[in-house]
Amino acid sequence: MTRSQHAVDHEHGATSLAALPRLIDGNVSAAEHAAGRERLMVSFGTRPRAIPYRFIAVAALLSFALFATTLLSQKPEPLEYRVTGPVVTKDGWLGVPLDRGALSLRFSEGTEVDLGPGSKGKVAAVTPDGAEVVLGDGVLHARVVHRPRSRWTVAAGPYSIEVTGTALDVEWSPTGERLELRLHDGSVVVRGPSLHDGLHVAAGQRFVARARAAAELSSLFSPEPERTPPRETPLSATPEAPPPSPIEPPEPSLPAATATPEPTLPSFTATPEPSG
Amino acid sequence: MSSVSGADRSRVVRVVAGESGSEDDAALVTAVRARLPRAAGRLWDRHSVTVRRVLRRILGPFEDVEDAVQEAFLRLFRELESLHDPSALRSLLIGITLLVAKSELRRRRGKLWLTPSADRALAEPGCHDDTHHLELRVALVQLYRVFDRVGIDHRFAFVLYYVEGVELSELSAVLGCSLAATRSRVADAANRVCSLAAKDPLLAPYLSLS
Repeated sequence: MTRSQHAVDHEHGATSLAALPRLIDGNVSAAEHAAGRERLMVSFGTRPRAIPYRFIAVAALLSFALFATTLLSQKPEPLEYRVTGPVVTKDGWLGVPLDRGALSLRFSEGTEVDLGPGSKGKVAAVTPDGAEVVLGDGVLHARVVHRPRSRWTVAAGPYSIEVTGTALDVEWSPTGERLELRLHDGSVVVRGPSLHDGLHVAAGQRFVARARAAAELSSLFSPEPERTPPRETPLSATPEAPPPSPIEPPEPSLPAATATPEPTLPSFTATPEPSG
Repeated sequence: MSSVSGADRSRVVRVVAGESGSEDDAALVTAVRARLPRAAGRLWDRHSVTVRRVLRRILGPFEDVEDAVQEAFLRLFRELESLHDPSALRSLLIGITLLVAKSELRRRRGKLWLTPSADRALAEPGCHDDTHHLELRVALVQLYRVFDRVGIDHRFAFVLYYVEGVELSELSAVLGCSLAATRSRVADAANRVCSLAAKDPLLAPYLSLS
């Protein structure tokens, strides 16, 4: 068979074979199309307005004239962020469907905030130094990049967690008014009811607060505290589990005994932040 | 809170026909550049089906491409400022889609090796289980295995020219090659794909269909 005959056969074969992938189309359900559209609009809306090229020359001249004053008064641009993963937006909230994995918010300076399946949250404010992320319900995991002057806040119900550079998990249930914070790295300050001066939480610690009940600070290596409010559930005797350190009354307490003797762990004290 | 359930997936409908909009691409580009409200959404309505279809046909039918579709649109928004001819939006979008597809293919190369796509595809729930559809699915899986062996550039050339029906002149612009080089690449892609398919008992019957 000649070379040109081969080419003709392959041309014919390729045309026939191409019928297989042609069975694949780009259609989706109306709901998926709308979800994709919303997701794109959310990401698109966070990008700064582009400057038309034809104004660049004029803007450069004006900038030069106003350079001195601009330099003194100019504020850096707020961070940008991009939404990745399944999202359903409603009333300004970013909702994560239960069955489609986690939703990620990736900020331009490297910070990543993930919302777990079934959770909802929103970015309430974005500044050049950080952002305020509100957890409306569910689970949030954040890896905040530490920078000079970085200022991040995770708000959940009446609580706010001030972060400067750390990795943490936050769980908030608005029905039970229960906040759980697990800190893997760095340190944060938690403010909220009965914590007006702020409570320092360090790496390796778990902080749990419930409505109308004492907050608890314990080691991540100790057994997880009861999830239901203690006033509704009778206390069970669990001699192998060390009791969590109570936050109230707000007096410095001695380091709590831990079940796992880990020499590198910080001491688990419930010391309120000194006021002033 | 509403969500997209698995049941919705099976109820596939044609939501938008890319060519049916009354607004032309040039006007759409102008609106997006001016960041007019809902301009991004209109661009999505008009072109998302095309982008998704190209990605699915390049990456394979059994992969979730939604993240890649979003990435393609976000890259498009960045590139729009430098688009001198707004009527060339489609070519720009296909070019960007290929870049996204290329990075996806590289990212998935190791993953596909760990979890063979054939097993996933055949075990996928909700698929048609009659013999004809099963044969088609098996043949599709085999074809994408062949695509994995011919190299990314030849995969793109084959899919765009033979499957998508993109003209050589437009393909030349999208691939950034001369017309002669594009023609040569298309012929080479056909040669490689057909040679491998001819040796595959599941694909060989599809080579002679008219």
